[in-house]
Amino acid sequence: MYNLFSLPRFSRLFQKHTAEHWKSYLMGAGVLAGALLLVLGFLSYLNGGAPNTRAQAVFFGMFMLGGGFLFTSNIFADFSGKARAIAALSLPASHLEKYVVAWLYSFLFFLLVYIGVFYAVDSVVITLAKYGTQQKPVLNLFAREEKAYYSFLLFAAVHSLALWGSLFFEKLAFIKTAVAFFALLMLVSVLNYSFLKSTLGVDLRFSLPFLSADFIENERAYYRLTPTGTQQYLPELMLLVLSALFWLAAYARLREKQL
Amino acid sequence: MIKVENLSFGYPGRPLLLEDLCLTLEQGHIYGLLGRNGAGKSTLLKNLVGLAFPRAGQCLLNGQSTAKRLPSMLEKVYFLPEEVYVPALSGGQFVARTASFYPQFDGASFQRYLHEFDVPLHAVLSQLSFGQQKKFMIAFGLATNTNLLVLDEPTNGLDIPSKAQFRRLIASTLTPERCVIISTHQVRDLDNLIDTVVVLHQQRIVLNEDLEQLAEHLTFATVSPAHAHEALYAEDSMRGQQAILPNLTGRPSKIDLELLFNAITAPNQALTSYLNQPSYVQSV
Repeated sequence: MYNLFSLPRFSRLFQKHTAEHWKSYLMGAGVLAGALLLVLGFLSYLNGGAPNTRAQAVFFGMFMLGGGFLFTSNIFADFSGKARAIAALSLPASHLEKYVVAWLYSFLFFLLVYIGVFYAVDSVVITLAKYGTQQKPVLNLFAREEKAYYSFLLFAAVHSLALWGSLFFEKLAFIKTAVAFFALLMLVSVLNYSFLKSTLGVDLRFSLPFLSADFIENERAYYRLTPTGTQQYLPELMLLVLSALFWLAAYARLREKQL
Repeated sequence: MIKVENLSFGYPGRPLLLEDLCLTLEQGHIYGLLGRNGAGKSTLLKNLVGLAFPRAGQCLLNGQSTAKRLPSMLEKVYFLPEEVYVPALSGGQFVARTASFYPQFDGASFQRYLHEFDVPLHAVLSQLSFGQQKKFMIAFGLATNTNLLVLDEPTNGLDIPSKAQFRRLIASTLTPERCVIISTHQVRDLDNLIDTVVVLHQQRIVLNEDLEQLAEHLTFATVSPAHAHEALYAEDSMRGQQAILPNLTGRPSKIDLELLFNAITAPNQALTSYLNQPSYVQSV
């Protein structure tokens, strides 16, 4: 057990990571706040008022996924580059402890900080951009209409992929992981399209796997086949499975990393 | 302490850099690992400390595979690479956050080493010169008191007085529980420091000998060209022929590491053949 996970050692590792990186993380949070303020402020200016909750949900998701992907792609920067990686890999702590520190910072703490920053900026924008006496409501993360909570599921998938990419690619992990992601998505979509087309025997429209099958019959009737019953949770389930697989792959990559 | 068993290593998609190496390194010794540029010295060291994984064979530290990088193994090892990395922390902050990972770390000794090297403790490490950073990390490595201390080209980047201080400190920190491995291509930096020389050449360990033993069985001397044919190895120098001969007097000779290295890695294998004779000890 001592070699797998030790709480006192994990605590020391966590403190070391914090001491070495808190300044850059704080700066990152500042940049995020600035970018959010700029985009939401500009949107309010164009609209002549603060964005509605639907638009807030869209920007909440976009910034969370984009910012999270960028941040997580660099979370294992200490393990890339010869001199840095030697220092990180030879530090007497287990692979699991090193992994959990990176996971906590890039997943849990990122989300907590992101939500805090988003609501702070959103509240400022909504307060400043109220039209007359009417103030737009602030986004409710748990409201069924906006489905903002769905972003968290997508974030888990994006995070796991970025975490794996940050260990797999030595340099420019952010760009290379993004390219790998889109290439993989394209490949899976093409395979899915070909499979459905040969199975259903109709002229299909292009759609992402597990979501729906869209086709037009006789150039008139448009059909959309969507999963029903428990199958409708298939996309969510697939995202969770994909996340778990990439998290495991990232851990395996850390254990096998050599210089 | 460290046991290398039939180790073969090559980076993926490339030919083998190390082939079927067998080596045992014991506590209480300072080993000098010599080899030409690109011979694989750093790669061997990385295999020893678990930063590279052999294609075949294994490295064991006290019976534990180093490739697993278990914390119980890592806290007994300190590896100082040629290019050191320091975070943007002050020396004091770095020690406060890192020393606790090494159970035997000695803070008082660390302060003393830093003082000897004339490196400030409270300066931000990333703002120090490369030589100062290296001296800081050498002092830290020595103070960890790990059983295995591996130094890859430690004197690169050090000024002349610092090299002498380095030799003095290394010699003073050797204990019966500690094994020090120093890899370098600057053999003069190891003069009067190491007690065993290991030479890596053409993927193999071609020499692993105690210097005292070598001094008893070899003579390093300047000879006239007429006597050069008696030498196991000879090369021209300003003073005549620098030669290595069998030691027939029994009086220990001062070892010229550079000449020894040249002899071992030369195409003429007379010295290697001589040393590999099982009876060479008796023959003199």
